[in-house]
Amino acid sequence: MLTAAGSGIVFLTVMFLLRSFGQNFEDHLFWYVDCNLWPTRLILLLCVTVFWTCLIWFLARLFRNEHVKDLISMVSRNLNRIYVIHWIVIAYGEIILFNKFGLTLRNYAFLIIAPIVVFVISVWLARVYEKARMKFNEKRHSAS
Amino acid sequence: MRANRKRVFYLDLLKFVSIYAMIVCHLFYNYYSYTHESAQGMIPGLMSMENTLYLIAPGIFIFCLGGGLYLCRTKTWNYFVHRGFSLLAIGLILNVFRWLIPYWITRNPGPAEGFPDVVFYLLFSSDILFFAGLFFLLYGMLARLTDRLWIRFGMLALLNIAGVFIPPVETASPAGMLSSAISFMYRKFPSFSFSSGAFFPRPATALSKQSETLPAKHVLFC
Repeated sequence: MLTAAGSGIVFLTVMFLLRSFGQNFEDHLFWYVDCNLWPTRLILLLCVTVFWTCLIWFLARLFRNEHVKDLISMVSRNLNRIYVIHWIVIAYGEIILFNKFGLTLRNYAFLIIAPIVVFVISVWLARVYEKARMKFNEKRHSAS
Repeated sequence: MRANRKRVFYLDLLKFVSIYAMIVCHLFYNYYSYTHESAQGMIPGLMSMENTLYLIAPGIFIFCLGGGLYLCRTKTWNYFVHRGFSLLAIGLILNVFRWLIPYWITRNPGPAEGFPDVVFYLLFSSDILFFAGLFFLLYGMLARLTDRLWIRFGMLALLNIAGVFIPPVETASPAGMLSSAISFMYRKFPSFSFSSGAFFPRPATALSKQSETLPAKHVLFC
Protein backbone atom coordinates (compact mmCIF):
# COMPACT_ATOMS: atom_id res chain seq x y z
CA MET A 1 0.00 0.00 0.00
CA LEU A 2 2.83 2.38 0.86
CA THR A 3 4.60 1.49 -2.37
CA ALA A 4 1.50 2.21 -4.42
CA ALA A 5 0.89 5.49 -2.60
CA GLY A 6 4.54 6.46 -2.87
CA SER A 7 4.71 5.80 -6.58
CA GLY A 8 1.49 7.73 -7.04
CA ILE A 9 3.01 10.69 -5.22
CA VAL A 10 6.14 10.48 -7.38
CA PHE A 11 4.03 10.40 -10.51
CA LEU A 12 1.93 13.39 -9.49
CA THR A 13 5.02 15.32 -8.42
CA VAL A 14 6.71 14.76 -11.76
CA MET A 15 3.56 15.86 -13.56
CA PHE A 16 3.32 18.98 -11.46
CA LEU A 17 6.97 19.88 -11.94
CA LEU A 18 6.83 19.46 -15.69
CA ARG A 19 3.71 21.55 -15.96
CA SER A 20 5.20 24.26 -13.85
CA PHE A 21 8.17 24.56 -16.27
CA GLY A 22 5.88 25.93 -18.93
CA GLN A 23 5.48 22.93 -21.20
CA ASN A 24 2.71 23.30 -23.74
CA PHE A 25 0.36 20.63 -22.39
CA GLU A 26 -3.35 20.40 -23.08
CA ASP A 27 -5.50 20.70 -19.99
CA HIS A 28 -7.13 17.28 -19.93
CA LEU A 29 -6.68 13.96 -18.22
CA PHE A 30 -4.08 12.40 -20.53
CA TRP A 31 -2.10 15.54 -21.21
CA TYR A 32 1.27 13.83 -20.95
CA VAL A 33 0.83 11.91 -24.19
CA ASP A 34 0.87 15.25 -26.03
CA CYS A 35 4.45 15.84 -25.03
CA ASN A 36 6.80 15.98 -28.03
CA LEU A 37 10.03 15.69 -26.07
CA TRP A 38 11.05 12.03 -26.02
CA PRO A 39 13.09 12.11 -22.79
CA THR A 40 10.19 13.70 -20.97
CA ARG A 41 7.74 11.25 -22.48
CA LEU A 42 10.00 8.35 -21.50
CA ILE A 43 10.23 9.51 -17.90
CA LEU A 44 6.51 10.04 -17.70
CA LEU A 45 5.75 6.64 -19.17
CA LEU A 46 8.13 5.04 -16.69
CA CYS A 47 6.38 6.79 -13.80
CA VAL A 48 2.97 5.76 -15.11
CA THR A 49 4.08 2.14 -15.48
CA VAL A 50 5.49 2.04 -11.96
CA PHE A 51 2.36 3.63 -10.57
CA TRP A 52 -0.08 1.25 -12.21
CA THR A 53 2.06 -1.80 -11.46
CA CYS A 54 2.17 -0.90 -7.78
CA LEU A 55 -1.56 -0.23 -7.77
CA ILE A 56 -2.36 -3.61 -9.31
CA TRP A 57 0.00 -5.33 -6.89
CA PHE A 58 -1.69 -3.57 -3.99
CA LEU A 59 -5.15 -4.56 -5.20
CA ALA A 60 -4.02 -8.18 -5.64
CA ARG A 61 -2.82 -8.21 -2.03
CA LEU A 62 -6.03 -6.57 -0.90
CA PHE A 63 -8.20 -9.20 -2.51
CA ARG A 64 -6.46 -11.94 -0.53
CA ASN A 65 -7.80 -10.45 2.67
CA GLU A 66 -10.67 -12.55 4.01
CA HIS A 67 -12.75 -9.55 5.07
CA VAL A 68 -12.47 -8.07 1.61
CA LYS A 69 -13.43 -11.42 0.09
CA ASP A 70 -16.45 -11.62 2.38
CA LEU A 71 -17.51 -8.12 1.38
CA ILE A 72 -17.17 -8.92 -2.31
CA SER A 73 -19.10 -12.15 -1.83
CA MET A 74 -21.85 -10.37 0.09
CA VAL A 75 -22.23 -7.70 -2.60
CA SER A 76 -22.36 -10.40 -5.27
CA ARG A 77 -25.06 -12.35 -3.38
CA ASN A 78 -27.23 -9.26 -2.95
CA LEU A 79 -26.59 -7.78 -6.37
CA ASN A 80 -30.22 -7.56 -7.47
CA ARG A 81 -31.25 -5.95 -4.17
CA ILE A 82 -28.37 -3.45 -4.37
CA TYR A 83 -29.39 -2.60 -7.93
CA VAL A 84 -32.96 -1.83 -6.92
CA ILE A 85 -31.98 0.03 -3.75
CA HIS A 86 -29.41 2.23 -5.42
CA TRP A 87 -31.97 3.54 -7.88
CA ILE A 88 -34.25 4.54 -5.00
CA VAL A 89 -31.34 6.20 -3.19
CA ILE A 90 -30.36 8.16 -6.29
CA ALA A 91 -33.91 9.24 -7.16
CA TYR A 92 -34.85 10.47 -3.69
CA GLY A 93 -31.36 11.70 -2.89
CA GLU A 94 -31.72 13.99 -5.88
CA ILE A 95 -35.03 15.29 -4.59
CA ILE A 96 -33.70 15.88 -1.09
CA LEU A 97 -30.37 17.44 -2.04
CA PHE A 98 -31.15 19.43 -5.13
CA ASN A 99 -34.85 20.23 -4.90
CA LYS A 100 -35.37 20.46 -1.15
CA PHE A 101 -32.07 22.01 -0.07
CA GLY A 102 -31.16 23.61 -3.38
CA LEU A 103 -27.59 22.33 -3.43
CA THR A 104 -25.58 22.77 -6.60
CA LEU A 105 -22.71 20.40 -5.96
CA ARG A 106 -22.09 19.69 -9.61
CA ASN A 107 -18.33 19.38 -9.74
CA TYR A 108 -15.63 16.72 -9.87
CA ALA A 109 -15.49 16.28 -6.09
CA PHE A 110 -19.16 15.36 -5.99
CA LEU A 111 -18.66 13.02 -8.92
CA ILE A 112 -16.11 11.08 -6.87
CA ILE A 113 -17.86 11.17 -3.50
CA ALA A 114 -21.47 10.57 -4.57
CA PRO A 115 -20.97 7.07 -6.07
CA ILE A 116 -19.14 5.93 -2.95
CA VAL A 117 -21.91 7.26 -0.69
CA VAL A 118 -24.66 5.70 -2.81
CA PHE A 119 -22.78 2.40 -2.97
CA VAL A 120 -22.22 2.25 0.79
CA ILE A 121 -25.84 3.10 1.58
CA SER A 122 -27.14 0.55 -0.92
CA VAL A 123 -24.88 -2.24 0.34
CA TRP A 124 -25.75 -1.45 3.94
CA LEU A 125 -29.51 -1.49 3.27
CA ALA A 126 -29.19 -4.73 1.31
CA ARG A 127 -27.27 -6.27 4.18
CA VAL A 128 -29.95 -5.16 6.67
CA TYR A 129 -32.61 -6.72 4.47
CA GLU A 130 -30.61 -9.95 4.14
CA LYS A 131 -30.17 -10.26 7.91
CA ALA A 132 -33.84 -9.52 8.55
CA ARG A 133 -34.89 -12.13 6.03
CA MET A 134 -32.58 -14.73 7.55
CA LYS A 135 -33.98 -14.03 11.02
CA PHE A 136 -37.50 -14.34 9.67
CA ASN A 137 -36.66 -17.68 8.01
CA GLU A 138 -35.04 -18.98 11.18
CA LYS A 139 -38.10 -18.07 13.24
CA ARG A 140 -40.38 -19.72 10.73
CA HIS A 141 -38.29 -22.90 10.74
CA SER A 142 -38.09 -23.01 14.52
CA ALA A 143 -41.85 -22.42 14.80
CA SER A 144 -42.61 -25.26 12.39
CA MET B 1 -24.30 -17.86 6.57
CA ARG B 2 -23.65 -18.98 3.04
CA ALA B 3 -19.95 -19.69 3.66
CA ASN B 4 -20.31 -23.35 2.77
CA ARG B 5 -21.50 -22.54 -0.78
CA LYS B 6 -18.84 -22.65 -3.44
CA ARG B 7 -18.27 -19.40 -5.27
CA VAL B 8 -16.16 -18.32 -8.22
CA PHE B 9 -14.16 -15.38 -6.87
CA TYR B 10 -13.42 -13.87 -10.27
CA LEU B 11 -17.09 -13.67 -11.12
CA ASP B 12 -17.89 -12.17 -7.72
CA LEU B 13 -15.17 -9.57 -8.21
CA LEU B 14 -16.41 -8.70 -11.67
CA LYS B 15 -19.95 -8.31 -10.33
CA PHE B 16 -18.61 -6.09 -7.53
CA VAL B 17 -16.88 -3.85 -10.05
CA SER B 18 -19.85 -3.89 -12.39
CA ILE B 19 -22.41 -2.77 -9.81
CA TYR B 20 -20.14 0.08 -8.73
CA ALA B 21 -19.63 1.09 -12.36
CA MET B 22 -23.40 1.01 -12.92
CA ILE B 23 -23.94 3.25 -9.90
CA VAL B 24 -21.49 5.77 -11.34
CA CYS B 25 -23.27 5.53 -14.70
CA HIS B 26 -26.69 6.14 -13.21
CA LEU B 27 -25.43 9.05 -11.16
CA PHE B 28 -24.06 10.59 -14.32
CA TYR B 29 -27.36 9.97 -16.05
CA ASN B 30 -29.53 11.45 -13.30
CA TYR B 31 -27.49 14.28 -11.94
CA TYR B 32 -25.51 15.31 -14.97
CA SER B 33 -27.78 14.61 -17.89
CA TYR B 34 -27.19 16.59 -21.02
CA THR B 35 -30.42 18.40 -20.29
CA HIS B 36 -28.78 20.09 -17.32
CA GLU B 37 -27.15 22.91 -19.21
CA SER B 38 -25.62 24.36 -16.07
CA ALA B 39 -23.93 21.06 -15.24
CA GLN B 40 -22.51 20.76 -18.71
CA GLY B 41 -20.99 24.17 -18.52
CA MET B 42 -19.58 23.72 -15.03
CA ILE B 43 -17.91 20.36 -15.68
CA PRO B 44 -15.81 20.35 -18.86
CA GLY B 45 -15.54 17.03 -20.62
CA LEU B 46 -18.60 15.66 -18.85
CA MET B 47 -20.36 14.43 -21.97
CA SER B 48 -17.32 12.48 -23.17
CA MET B 49 -16.94 10.89 -19.72
CA GLU B 50 -20.60 9.92 -19.69
CA ASN B 51 -20.36 8.40 -23.16
CA THR B 52 -17.25 6.44 -22.19
CA LEU B 53 -18.88 5.09 -19.05
CA TYR B 54 -21.95 3.99 -20.95
CA LEU B 55 -19.71 1.97 -23.24
CA ILE B 56 -18.02 0.12 -20.40
CA ALA B 57 -20.31 -0.24 -17.38
CA PRO B 58 -23.40 -1.92 -18.92
CA GLY B 59 -21.12 -4.22 -20.89
CA ILE B 60 -19.46 -5.52 -17.75
CA PHE B 61 -22.83 -5.89 -16.04
CA ILE B 62 -24.36 -7.85 -18.88
CA PHE B 63 -21.18 -9.89 -19.28
CA CYS B 64 -21.63 -11.01 -15.65
CA LEU B 65 -25.22 -11.90 -16.38
CA GLY B 66 -24.14 -14.04 -19.30
CA GLY B 67 -21.54 -15.67 -17.10
CA GLY B 68 -24.07 -16.42 -14.41
CA LEU B 69 -26.42 -17.83 -17.02
CA TYR B 70 -23.91 -20.53 -17.81
CA LEU B 71 -23.63 -21.42 -14.14
CA CYS B 72 -27.37 -22.16 -13.88
CA ARG B 73 -27.46 -23.99 -17.20
CA THR B 74 -29.03 -27.15 -15.75
CA LYS B 75 -32.21 -25.32 -14.73
CA THR B 76 -35.39 -26.13 -16.65
CA TRP B 77 -36.94 -23.85 -19.23
CA ASN B 78 -39.85 -22.79 -16.99
CA TYR B 79 -37.33 -21.54 -14.42
CA PHE B 80 -35.95 -19.04 -16.94
CA VAL B 81 -39.41 -18.01 -18.11
CA HIS B 82 -40.49 -17.47 -14.50
CA ARG B 83 -37.41 -15.38 -13.79
CA GLY B 84 -37.97 -13.40 -16.96
CA PHE B 85 -41.47 -12.41 -15.92
CA SER B 86 -40.24 -11.66 -12.38
CA LEU B 87 -37.59 -9.30 -13.69
CA LEU B 88 -40.08 -7.51 -15.92
CA ALA B 89 -42.44 -7.06 -12.98
CA ILE B 90 -39.61 -5.78 -10.76
CA GLY B 91 -38.63 -3.35 -13.51
CA LEU B 92 -42.15 -1.95 -13.76
CA ILE B 93 -42.49 -1.54 -9.99
CA LEU B 94 -39.07 0.07 -9.82
CA ASN B 95 -40.03 2.54 -12.54
CA VAL B 96 -42.94 3.67 -10.40
CA PHE B 97 -40.69 4.44 -7.45
CA ARG B 98 -37.68 5.85 -9.27
CA TRP B 99 -39.36 7.82 -12.09
CA LEU B 100 -43.10 8.32 -11.60
CA ILE B 101 -43.23 9.29 -7.94
CA PRO B 102 -40.18 11.62 -8.09
CA TYR B 103 -41.62 13.18 -11.24
CA TRP B 104 -44.89 13.80 -9.43
CA ILE B 105 -43.08 15.26 -6.41
CA THR B 106 -40.81 17.57 -8.36
CA ARG B 107 -42.99 18.64 -11.27
CA ASN B 108 -46.52 18.23 -9.88
CA PRO B 109 -47.98 18.04 -13.38
CA GLY B 110 -51.58 18.51 -14.33
CA PRO B 111 -53.71 17.27 -17.22
CA ALA B 112 -52.70 20.26 -19.36
CA GLU B 113 -49.09 19.03 -19.42
CA GLY B 114 -49.93 15.72 -21.04
CA PHE B 115 -49.47 13.79 -17.83
CA PRO B 116 -50.86 10.48 -19.17
CA ASP B 117 -48.20 10.43 -21.93
CA VAL B 118 -45.48 11.07 -19.40
CA VAL B 119 -46.86 8.28 -17.20
CA PHE B 120 -46.62 5.80 -20.07
CA TYR B 121 -43.12 6.92 -21.01
CA LEU B 122 -41.80 6.81 -17.45
CA LEU B 123 -43.52 3.56 -16.52
CA PHE B 124 -42.15 1.67 -19.51
CA SER B 125 -38.76 3.33 -19.54
CA SER B 126 -36.58 0.35 -20.28
CA ASP B 127 -33.30 -0.43 -18.67
CA ILE B 128 -31.26 -3.48 -17.80
CA LEU B 129 -34.03 -5.17 -15.81
CA PHE B 130 -36.29 -5.19 -18.87
CA PHE B 131 -33.48 -6.34 -21.11
CA ALA B 132 -32.55 -9.08 -18.66
CA GLY B 133 -36.17 -10.16 -18.26
CA LEU B 134 -36.77 -10.38 -21.99
CA PHE B 135 -33.47 -12.14 -22.44
CA PHE B 136 -34.40 -14.74 -19.84
CA LEU B 137 -37.72 -15.28 -21.61
CA LEU B 138 -35.88 -15.80 -24.88
CA TYR B 139 -33.38 -18.13 -23.26
CA GLY B 140 -36.23 -20.06 -21.63
CA MET B 141 -37.79 -20.61 -25.06
CA LEU B 142 -34.44 -21.81 -26.40
CA ALA B 143 -34.06 -24.13 -23.41
CA ARG B 144 -37.52 -25.53 -24.22
CA LEU B 145 -36.39 -26.28 -27.76
CA THR B 146 -33.08 -27.96 -27.01
CA ASP B 147 -30.96 -29.26 -24.15
CA ARG B 148 -27.74 -28.74 -26.02
CA LEU B 149 -25.89 -25.73 -24.62
CA TRP B 150 -23.85 -25.09 -27.72
CA ILE B 151 -27.03 -24.72 -29.80
CA ARG B 152 -28.55 -22.30 -27.31
CA PHE B 153 -25.51 -20.08 -27.00
CA GLY B 154 -24.70 -20.45 -30.67
CA MET B 155 -28.14 -19.12 -31.62
CA LEU B 156 -27.70 -16.23 -29.21
CA ALA B 157 -24.32 -15.43 -30.71
CA LEU B 158 -25.84 -15.50 -34.21
CA LEU B 159 -28.59 -13.12 -33.12
CA ASN B 160 -25.96 -10.82 -31.65
CA ILE B 161 -24.03 -10.77 -34.92
CA ALA B 162 -27.19 -10.29 -36.96
CA GLY B 163 -28.02 -7.29 -34.84
CA VAL B 164 -25.03 -5.44 -36.22
CA PHE B 165 -26.64 -5.36 -39.67
CA ILE B 166 -30.18 -4.45 -38.61
CA PRO B 167 -31.13 -0.80 -38.15
CA PRO B 168 -31.69 0.19 -34.52
CA VAL B 169 -35.28 0.13 -33.32
CA GLU B 170 -36.82 2.70 -31.04
CA THR B 171 -36.64 1.14 -27.60
CA ALA B 172 -39.71 2.96 -26.32
CA SER B 173 -41.76 0.31 -28.09
CA PRO B 174 -42.13 -3.39 -27.20
CA ALA B 175 -40.41 -4.35 -30.47
CA GLY B 176 -37.51 -2.11 -29.63
CA MET B 177 -37.14 -3.54 -26.16
CA LEU B 178 -37.19 -7.08 -27.54
CA SER B 179 -34.61 -6.30 -30.19
CA SER B 180 -32.39 -4.69 -27.60
CA ALA B 181 -32.74 -7.69 -25.31
CA ILE B 182 -31.68 -10.10 -28.02
CA SER B 183 -28.57 -8.40 -29.20
CA PHE B 184 -29.06 -5.20 -31.03
CA MET B 185 -27.01 -2.21 -30.19
CA TYR B 186 -29.26 0.26 -28.47
CA ARG B 187 -27.25 3.42 -28.39
CA LYS B 188 -24.18 2.12 -26.61
CA PHE B 189 -25.72 -0.93 -24.96
CA PRO B 190 -23.39 -3.84 -25.70
CA SER B 191 -25.82 -6.71 -25.54
CA PHE B 192 -23.34 -9.08 -27.18
CA SER B 193 -21.89 -9.56 -23.73
CA PHE B 194 -24.88 -11.72 -22.85
CA SER B 195 -23.64 -14.67 -24.86
CA SER B 196 -19.94 -13.91 -24.64
CA GLY B 197 -20.13 -13.83 -20.84
CA ALA B 198 -21.56 -17.33 -20.81
CA PHE B 199 -18.14 -18.69 -21.72
CA PHE B 200 -16.32 -16.71 -19.08
CA PRO B 201 -16.98 -18.98 -16.07
CA ARG B 202 -15.55 -21.97 -17.90
CA PRO B 203 -11.92 -20.85 -17.71
CA ALA B 204 -12.55 -19.35 -14.28
CA THR B 205 -13.95 -22.58 -12.87
CA ALA B 206 -11.28 -24.63 -14.62
CA LEU B 207 -8.59 -22.49 -12.99
CA SER B 208 -10.20 -22.92 -9.59
CA LYS B 209 -10.76 -26.64 -10.17
CA GLN B 210 -14.51 -26.30 -9.80
CA SER B 211 -16.37 -27.95 -12.59
CA GLU B 212 -19.80 -28.64 -11.10
CA THR B 213 -22.74 -26.30 -11.42
CA LEU B 214 -22.90 -23.70 -8.69
CA PRO B 215 -26.04 -22.86 -6.70
CA ALA B 216 -28.52 -20.62 -8.47
CA LYS B 217 -28.22 -17.83 -5.89
CA HIS B 218 -24.70 -17.23 -7.14
CA VAL B 219 -26.04 -16.08 -10.47
CA LEU B 220 -26.73 -12.47 -11.36
CA PHE B 221 -30.49 -11.93 -11.50
CA CYS B 222 -31.11 -15.69 -11.03
